[in-house]
Amino acid sequence: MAACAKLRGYDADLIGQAIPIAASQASGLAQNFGTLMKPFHAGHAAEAGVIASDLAA
Amino acid sequence: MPLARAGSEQNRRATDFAQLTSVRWAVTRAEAVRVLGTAQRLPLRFAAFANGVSIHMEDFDDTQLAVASDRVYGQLTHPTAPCFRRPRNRRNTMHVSGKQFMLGYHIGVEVALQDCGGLLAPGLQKRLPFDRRVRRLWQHGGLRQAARL
Repeated sequence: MAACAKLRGYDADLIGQAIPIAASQASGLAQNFGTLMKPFHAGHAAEAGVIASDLAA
Repeated sequence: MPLARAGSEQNRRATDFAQLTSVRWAVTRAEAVRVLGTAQRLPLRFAAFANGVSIHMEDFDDTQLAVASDRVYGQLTHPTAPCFRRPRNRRNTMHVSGKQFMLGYHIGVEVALQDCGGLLAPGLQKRLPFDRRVRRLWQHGGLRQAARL
């Protein structure tokens, strides 16, 4: 994630926002409560279901 | 599928891989699914993501019932949104009837609610991080009704 942000020329603020987004996707973080990362996980779970069933087919 | 084929034929040239990718996108465009509340259609994968985010972002599917002073969140689940988007998206791509769609949806909600008791038991509540508990509920309810469809 850090390499991708660096290649895109992000400044420290943007990188600071991208790091917790990446971390949340790795495990799920209660610290994300009250942020848009919580509904992100609902969508991510749906997307992951589609990918998993595609790969299994 | 293209991903598996590309992996098993590593000597393919880049142009061949691009062709495989374009074939995959042609398939997904044919399976385009409506993004709720808009006229836009996206491939199933991205529509599932967009619909999942938008449904949950409004938080209208919360069941936050306090059951004790130390369990103020109590039966905190989101039983409807994850069970809705999978059969809804499947209905678009599999052309199931409205009756089949509603049956799959209700099975998913029922399973999600029945799972709540076990997954949110006090012992398990302490062992599992909150997001993992919620994710398990989503997967249980969503997968069962998807399998039913």
